Amino acid sequence: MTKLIRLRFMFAIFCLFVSHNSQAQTKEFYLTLENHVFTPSELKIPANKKVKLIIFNKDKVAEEFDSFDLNREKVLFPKRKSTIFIGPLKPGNYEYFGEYYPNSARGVIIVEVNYVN
Amino acid sequence: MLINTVILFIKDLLPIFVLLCLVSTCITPNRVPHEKLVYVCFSSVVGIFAKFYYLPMMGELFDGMGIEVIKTLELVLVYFCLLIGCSSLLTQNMIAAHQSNLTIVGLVIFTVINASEFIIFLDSYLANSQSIRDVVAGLSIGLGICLSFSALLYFSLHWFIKKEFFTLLYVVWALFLSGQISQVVNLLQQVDIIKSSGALWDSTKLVKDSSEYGHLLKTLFGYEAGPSLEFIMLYTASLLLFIVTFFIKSSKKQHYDIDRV
Repeated sequence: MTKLIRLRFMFAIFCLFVSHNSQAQTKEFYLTLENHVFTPSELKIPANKKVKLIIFNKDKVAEEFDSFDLNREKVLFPKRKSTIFIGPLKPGNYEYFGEYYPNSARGVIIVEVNYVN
Repeated sequence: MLINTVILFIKDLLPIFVLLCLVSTCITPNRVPHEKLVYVCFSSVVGIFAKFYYLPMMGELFDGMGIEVIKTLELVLVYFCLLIGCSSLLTQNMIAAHQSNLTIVGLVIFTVINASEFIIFLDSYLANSQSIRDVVAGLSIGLGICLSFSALLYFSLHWFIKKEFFTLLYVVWALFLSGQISQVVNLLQQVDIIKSSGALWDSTKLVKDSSEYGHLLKTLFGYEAGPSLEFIMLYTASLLLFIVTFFIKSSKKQHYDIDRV
């Protein structure tokens, strides 16, 4: 009996931290990296919602998507798509950059309360 | 390009230098045989290039979450291997064979994780032949900074060992490994395996994540200007595990000392 309670408790803790799988409802946004430049350089997303960011690296070399504001870091392999989940975020501007070519590969994610699709 | 090479060198490779200092001062001296160090170097080099080669394919696994999932498993493995390895500090006995082997496994995996990321960057830069001179200069400066910092750290740790401040060294290990294991939270939040909550506080005004101090503190004990609740919980759990190990090992040492008397 005690074992059962312990298992239930562990499962409850697990559920508390493991993300609810609501990918169908998660809105998708797209970024493209070409010639070490992210387009669009300004991406608007809704506030307080988790979103899926799909980045397509069209360059021949790898790049690393990095953002101290978003706390995200991901290697973008050449000619491949990579996915990152961000949010829920408060309204504001969140900068990101390509770690290998930070002078050209830069952009900002604008989180808006009154986001219009 | 020069400055960027220096920054990435420090960001990716300084943690390896710090771990090497910790292992060479606290675990290696007359405990890990020198022949094993040759295996460490050989398996690290093979591991780095194998991971670099297979990383794009690994990224496609688990519905595009491969890199994060594999890095998480690697970091967890490194954490437990080195936790068991560094616990020999508390007993000050000869390191057991399994502890020595686990330390080596932890060291190799940790080197592979960090160095393979740096090789990806080098590969990307060296594709542009015009930047080779800048890259070489950046690598030299980065290596110089890492070696200087390592020398300073090595002699400080050595001094602590001489003064028999073993508990303090154990705290250094605990903070370093907790900082490394806590990265797991950001990795899993990035691919939506763990819930992403907002930052608990913001200490950007004090030390920015992007600053030199921010990078250094992140390497030493996993500093983050805006940590999430999940990050803090994992960090605390990791420290608790170190405390539990501390008490278990200390009580074992007491029994051992009493038996010897």
